Amino acid sequence: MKVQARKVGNFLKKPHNIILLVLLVCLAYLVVVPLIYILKDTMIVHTSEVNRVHQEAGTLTSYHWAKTFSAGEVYSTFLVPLFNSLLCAVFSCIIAIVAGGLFAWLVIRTDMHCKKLCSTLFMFLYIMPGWTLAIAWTNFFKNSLVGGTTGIFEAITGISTPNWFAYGFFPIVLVTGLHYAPYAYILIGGILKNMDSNLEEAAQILKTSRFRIFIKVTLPLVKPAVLSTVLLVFASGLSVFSTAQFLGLPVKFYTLATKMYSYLNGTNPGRGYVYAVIMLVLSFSILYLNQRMLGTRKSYTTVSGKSSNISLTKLRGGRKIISAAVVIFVMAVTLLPFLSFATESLTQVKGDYSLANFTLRYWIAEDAGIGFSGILRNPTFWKALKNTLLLAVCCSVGAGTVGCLAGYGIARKWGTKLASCVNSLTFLPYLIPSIAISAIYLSMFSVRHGIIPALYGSSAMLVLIGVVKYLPMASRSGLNSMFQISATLEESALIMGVPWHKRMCRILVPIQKTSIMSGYLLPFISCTREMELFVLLYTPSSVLLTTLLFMYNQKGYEQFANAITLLIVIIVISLNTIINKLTGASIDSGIGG
Amino acid sequence: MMKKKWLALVLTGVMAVGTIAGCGDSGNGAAVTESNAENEAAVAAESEDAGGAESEAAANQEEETSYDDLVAAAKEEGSLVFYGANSYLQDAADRFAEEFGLKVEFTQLGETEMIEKITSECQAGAVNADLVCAQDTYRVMAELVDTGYAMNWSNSRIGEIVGDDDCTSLIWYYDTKSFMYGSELVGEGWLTNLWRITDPEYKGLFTMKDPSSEGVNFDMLTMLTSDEYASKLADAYEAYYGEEITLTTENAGWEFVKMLFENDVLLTTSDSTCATTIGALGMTDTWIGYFSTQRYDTQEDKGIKLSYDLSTCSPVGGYAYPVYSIILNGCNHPNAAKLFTEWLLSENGWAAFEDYYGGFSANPANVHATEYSFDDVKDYIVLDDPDYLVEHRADMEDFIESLR
Amino acid sequence: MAENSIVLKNVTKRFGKSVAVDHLNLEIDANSFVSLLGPSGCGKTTTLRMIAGLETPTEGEIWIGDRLVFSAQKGIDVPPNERGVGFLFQNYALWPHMTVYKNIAFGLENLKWSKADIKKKVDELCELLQLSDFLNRYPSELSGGQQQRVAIARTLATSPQILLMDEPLSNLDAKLRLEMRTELKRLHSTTKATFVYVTHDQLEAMALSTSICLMNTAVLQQYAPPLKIYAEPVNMFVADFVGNPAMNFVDFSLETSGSVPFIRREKETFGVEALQEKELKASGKDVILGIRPEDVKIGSAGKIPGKVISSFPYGMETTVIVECMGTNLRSVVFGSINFTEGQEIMVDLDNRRTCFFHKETKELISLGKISHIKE
Repeated sequence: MKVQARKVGNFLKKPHNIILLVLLVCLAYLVVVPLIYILKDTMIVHTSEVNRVHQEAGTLTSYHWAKTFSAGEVYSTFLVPLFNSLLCAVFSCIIAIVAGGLFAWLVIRTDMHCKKLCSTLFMFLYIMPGWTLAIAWTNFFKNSLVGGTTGIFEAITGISTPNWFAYGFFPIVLVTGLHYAPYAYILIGGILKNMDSNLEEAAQILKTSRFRIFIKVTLPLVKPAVLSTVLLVFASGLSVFSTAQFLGLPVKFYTLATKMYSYLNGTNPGRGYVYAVIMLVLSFSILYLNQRMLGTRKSYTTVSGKSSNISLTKLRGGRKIISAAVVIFVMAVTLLPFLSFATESLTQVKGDYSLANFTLRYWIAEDAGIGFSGILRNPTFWKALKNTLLLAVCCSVGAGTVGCLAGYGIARKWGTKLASCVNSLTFLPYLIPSIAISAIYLSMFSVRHGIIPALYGSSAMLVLIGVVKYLPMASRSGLNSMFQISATLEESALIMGVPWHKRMCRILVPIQKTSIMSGYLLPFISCTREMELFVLLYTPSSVLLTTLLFMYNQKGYEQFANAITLLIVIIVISLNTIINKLTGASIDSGIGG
Repeated sequence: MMKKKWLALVLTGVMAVGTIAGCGDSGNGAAVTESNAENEAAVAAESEDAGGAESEAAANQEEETSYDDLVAAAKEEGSLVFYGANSYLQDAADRFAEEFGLKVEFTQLGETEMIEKITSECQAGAVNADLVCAQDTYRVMAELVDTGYAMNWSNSRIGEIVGDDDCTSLIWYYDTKSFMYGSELVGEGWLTNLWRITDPEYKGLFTMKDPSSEGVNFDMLTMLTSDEYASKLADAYEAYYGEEITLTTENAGWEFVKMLFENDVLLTTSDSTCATTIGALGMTDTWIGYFSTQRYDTQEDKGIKLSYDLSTCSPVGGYAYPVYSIILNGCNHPNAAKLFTEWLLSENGWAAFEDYYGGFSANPANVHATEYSFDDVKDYIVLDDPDYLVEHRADMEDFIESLR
Repeated sequence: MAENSIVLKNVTKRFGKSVAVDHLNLEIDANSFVSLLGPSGCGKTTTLRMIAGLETPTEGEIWIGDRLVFSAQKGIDVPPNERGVGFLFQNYALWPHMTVYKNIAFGLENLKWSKADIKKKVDELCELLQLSDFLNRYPSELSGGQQQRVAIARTLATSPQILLMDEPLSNLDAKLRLEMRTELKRLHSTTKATFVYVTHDQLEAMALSTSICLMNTAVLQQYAPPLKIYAEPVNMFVADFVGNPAMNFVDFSLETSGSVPFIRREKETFGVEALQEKELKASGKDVILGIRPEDVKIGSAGKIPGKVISSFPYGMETTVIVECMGTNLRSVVFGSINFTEGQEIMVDLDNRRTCFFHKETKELISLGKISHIKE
């Protein structure tokens, strides 16, 4: 007994063990329990389903599963959306990897012009909320199928875009793929940067064809990065909602996510949860495959250590043309959306781009109609801005700190069951759809459960869910930064008897401050533009920019909505720039290192 | 202070006009607002005991709380928390707060989120909101009233205005949605029969907000399948196509929904999109849309041209969905909620909505922005039947899922 | 027992299924300089880290002085900082964001030393290690050797009685390495601490240590003073690992019929004078003879014909590969002698210290001498 107690004592003497244990317990409660709840929700009668199932609320039922797979409905309401979802996820992955990878190669491995500009602009794609790209797409390529004024493209060229181009699968995949292309750029770029070009040159000397070099040498080396990208994009592509809803509805293109939302929003939430479970299962299998293929490689990025031996491929005659093409492409996908938001927020009548139609009243007028003053004069806007920033700061401090600690604990115990368990748990929230997790949290935290207080209605609730939801990004980043520091730097202090908090604050954090800051930046940015996660849980005192946006959109105050979208994007980008200038941290270094 | 007095006087006037008898109570209410602060404090102190002893059930049987006492009890509670889907409610909240010196917290939420929030709160016994302004009749009935989350209470003063004492699911105003069309090409009076929407000639030229994200659209479509509207639709079919309807479904209502979807309805994510879609200038086709009547009022702002006429469209030109004011059992500020409900029906309570086109207060004495009154059009629009909705809404949802 | 002796009893470390250290028993005397030697992955670094407390053994006990610092059975695990050890890391582990002064002083600050005392100690150490000019530099502004000295100074600052070093010289170039070796020897004599030194360089181990602990694939092979390891390796692995150029191994068949054992290969026969004749006789028909290159004499005086395959003149000595008895033998000759490839020479293997290894187990059977017998 005594020996056991001593062993436990020894175990707990090590801070990383404590961190991992605490995380294990917390995440079990905050991540695993919700998953069980979701599963349970697929098997009970919800209050809104009483008149459908004809049983009392709360009783167990197989109704939802049975209905989903019933002969009459399984094809149109399940198989087709499933197929569409998989198609979206797969092609988004391909686009993200091809676009991001190609871009990474051009920026890092060639002598292209304007690298810095392109790199910065390319990140905008990720910084901007995904659905804004979808809105911009329709602003440009709308055709007469959806009535109203036609898009800018048709207005200028007179060519009516075909339906497949304007709506449905093609733009959804393109927008989602482009939105996540920066992931691929960061991850693959990280490897290309560290990869000794000798590896390729060695093959070249052996007279291997360029194509074979690419297939046999380059590709296997970037495989871990590609796999990580696949995981991230696949899971996101599967659950992408706003974009799919926005671009899919006109041509009746439904995915699992849009189906899930419509069931959750309708009076059959149980069935919505069935779809959530199916999406989770799909994501989990990708996660599992990914880990199988990655093996227990310690790091995603370091292939042959630090190497400065990068030879730039000469683009020769194509240099100018390729550079110009890249710049134009990047500008088109990043600045045009901006322009469209700005224009829409300035025009009185939609679709009329004559000078007389431009007005600043939605920005600065005392009364901009319908009882609202212009955005910049609107106290609600300023309050929402304050709340948003406050919440984003809290979430990023929470997620960043926990993620950093998690990274520390996992890195120190790498290879052990405990570490891999916590590692997987920190990643799970990424796979749970926001709307499902917020609904579950609402019921989990509405009343006190033992020592867990009733958080509902307080801002702590918003912070908690934000921290959990953004933990995957932060812990990835934390893990990366901890892997980059040799453990001996800490051990040398440990032997001298430097206490743990001092080792963290005086040694590890100062050394990796840039990388750790990046771990804070990602949650911050994501939080600023998050809506689905908070919409169920916010209170009037905590109105957020996105919820305000939601309201304006609902009520059709498009100028306001566009103005806020524009402001969100500008705020996020300028904060990213400021933080980057001050600390050297940037989201690009967050995931990839 | 001057303004307050004025408001109180107006309130008194409204009460007097709106009610033929029993205006004594409301008169007293006005008197309290007029009286000075010392008096108010005294009343508040007095009502402390009464407020504490008073239980919701007791309120039903025992003598009704007078308006004065209600005001005092509400002030005692000090604040009000309520949820609603309409942004105009913020204005109402501010007015209410100013008038009674209460702290009012209003959260604007989508219908689904709102009901979800409420039911979670009630289920867990952590009732945060006192009152909710919900509009999806089916959900209100199925998820708030039938579950017992809605407080059972009555008020004769309200009863005198709306004709029913029972305030459990009190309708305090009707919002309307209409079938409109772009009038640039065809001018006024073009849409005379709803079946035009299903006419293959106009394929792909009808738009509405996706019912999956707008419960009241489901309610409207469900109501069309009720015997009353189905038979009207059958008649209108004959009028439009010149032959009797051949049914592949249960009745003309279901048939209408089916044909509507088969004729390539364009589902959107918001009513505003629908409005700008059909009203945009320079199109070659005339679109029909179904959306909030209020959008008619935004034409000028948005540079669009819309037209609708409820009375000339056969069999119906629109839909009126009730907006309920539901007080929740076990809430923290029941008296403030009751006062708010009563106040919403008053002129002051409606003031925030005076320029809300297409909205009709349950108190007919109130001023409306619409050029016609609710009574004028009641026969030309679909009205809710809660019992029918509770029975058939789920069927409609599944039916539409199968049509997508 | 002295305070700075170290004893490992049955220490085992497993990482998942793989065994890094297998039932290691080791007694390190106080004030000795012990090298843990072996190829990479043999468990030597793990052993060192277990002594320091940076790694937790799966089984066994570790004693430092008369204090039990680790026992799997009793559940004792004294944290590293309470074991009174200093640790020098392979990559120096200097904190990149601190100056040289700060790097050395940080540990002392933590021990709540007064500012003046710290300064005195740092100055003293910098004097000793010739770092006084670099106090305000950052590690990245120093050369490899300087960084190494900072790391040593930092480790010595707290005056540990046991100094654990993990391949501290492996990142230095050859010349610097030699200098630092001298430095380490000097430090060992001035500090009177017990040094435990991990290296894969047998030359370094031979040159520095009082004892070498040679490990292979998690198992201790031999623990003995360097010259004993060199002269009396317990098995072929040790014999092969220690010494450069490596020992020659030649298969012979053994004849034990006569009173004196003989070994034969091709046309050559040698008489054997074994220290453990009984064991040799019992070992079977085949043996492997181990003979150091310096004991393979070549020239005109030998009795066995050979042919030069290649020669590597290093200046002070020359390594020659000779084809002899159907195999290649390495020979080291003192001085620079020019051999031409293909040159016929005579080889002499007589009267030298040789080892007899078991053909199957590769274990040492006996030491002994051989003498060539003319047919």
